[in-house]
Amino acid sequence: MMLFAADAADAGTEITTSPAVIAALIGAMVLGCITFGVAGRLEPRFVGAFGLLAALSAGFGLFAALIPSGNEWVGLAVFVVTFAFFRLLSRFESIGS
Amino acid sequence: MTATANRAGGEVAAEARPYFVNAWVDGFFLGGFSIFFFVYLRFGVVFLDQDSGAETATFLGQSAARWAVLAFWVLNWPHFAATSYRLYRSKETVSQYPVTAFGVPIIVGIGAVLALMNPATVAPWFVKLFFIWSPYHFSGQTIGLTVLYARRAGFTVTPLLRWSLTWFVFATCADVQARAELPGTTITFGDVVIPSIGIPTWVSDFTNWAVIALGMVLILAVVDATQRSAGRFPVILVIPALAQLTWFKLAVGTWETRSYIEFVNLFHSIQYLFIAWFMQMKERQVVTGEEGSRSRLVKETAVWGLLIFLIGAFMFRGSARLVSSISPVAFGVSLAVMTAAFQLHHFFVDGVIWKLRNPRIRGALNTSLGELMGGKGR
Repeated sequence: MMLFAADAADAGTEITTSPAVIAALIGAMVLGCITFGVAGRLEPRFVGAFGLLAALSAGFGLFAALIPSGNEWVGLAVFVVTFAFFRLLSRFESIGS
Repeated sequence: MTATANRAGGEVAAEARPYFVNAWVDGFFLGGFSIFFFVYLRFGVVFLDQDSGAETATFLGQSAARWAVLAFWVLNWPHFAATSYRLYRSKETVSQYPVTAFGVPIIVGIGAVLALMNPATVAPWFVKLFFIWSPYHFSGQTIGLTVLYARRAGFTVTPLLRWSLTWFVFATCADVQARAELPGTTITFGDVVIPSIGIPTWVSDFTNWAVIALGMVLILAVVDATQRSAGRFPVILVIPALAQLTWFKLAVGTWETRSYIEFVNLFHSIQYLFIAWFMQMKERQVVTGEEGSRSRLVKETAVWGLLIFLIGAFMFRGSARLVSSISPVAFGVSLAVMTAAFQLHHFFVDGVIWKLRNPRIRGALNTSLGELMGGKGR
């Protein structure tokens, strides 16, 4: 895998990024901006919810980039982090949390 | 339906009205049916001739699948529709959860469109997200139902009991998912091929032992909590966790019960619809101000039932047909993607509308059949 554009250029390889990863990164950026924009104007639970959506979008990008994982340890990290993130999502827009 | 609890230290019900109907009926819907079904397959009538080879085995699989598909129309899809209906039926509920009501559908909708446009490069991971989230969602409902019934029975859930129940239930979830995520495994859903994450094989052994160890801790916690409650333990509290253990552990990998997996979604839906029905009937009673009566319940049930049946049919069949008819997307792809989209939305909605720490929810979930039919309830 080419980690840096310079490496790819040296190797004469064109970098192809999955549409899922690109869409997820754009989504995370837009949602991050929305989170910033509504911070201080809306109730904390709404702001937190936008933040979680931004994290979900970025997480989906990682999901698409890392699965199927050639490295089992990376796979294990994705597995554990995914469940930890679901745990976090259980507090999404929660009343009285 | 997800669990919430007072983390400060234990939960005690305000008043004891243990069952919606009675111990047998509640236990049946809460998971008793699924446990009986498992026992029936495992030890009772053997549907398959073990000596007749693959063709017979395939026949059973198809037969079970046919029944499961039929039940999807009347149980599984309506259970999703019931959740959406609860959220979108009034301005009040929508305004209570605006990000869930509007933000989530936009995000999930964009994801679905991208998945439909890129069946090979986006759809597998979009559908994968729903596949991996689904058992976790089931676990939330298992814990939520246990806490609900403990509250109704006036049984104190000690912090140890709460902790051990939560970890045990999620361990069964991690265990079933770990087996699906071993390297090289793929699942085909519709026309979408979904890759596994590719985790080390020892993780599956680890989660297996974790289920056993945490099960033992849970038993000790139950004994401890029972002693603190003067020896009184409502047996119904065992059923949701036992049902989940059956779904995710006992029925997996056994030859006689391999068609059982087709029905697990339905067992979850049966649990859900049982509670959602009481919630719906109670809230309608409050809104209309009518006295409880059998005829009112029949009428309300017919209207609600028809509504969630139609909404569910559109969500899980109609939308996929529509997409494939107005676009070049194959039906197998649109079916997988639309199913994933509505399920992902459901996981979000379910996570917010059933919080027991919300006094309104808590109050409505304290009703009973007797109360809804005009009596004072059990």
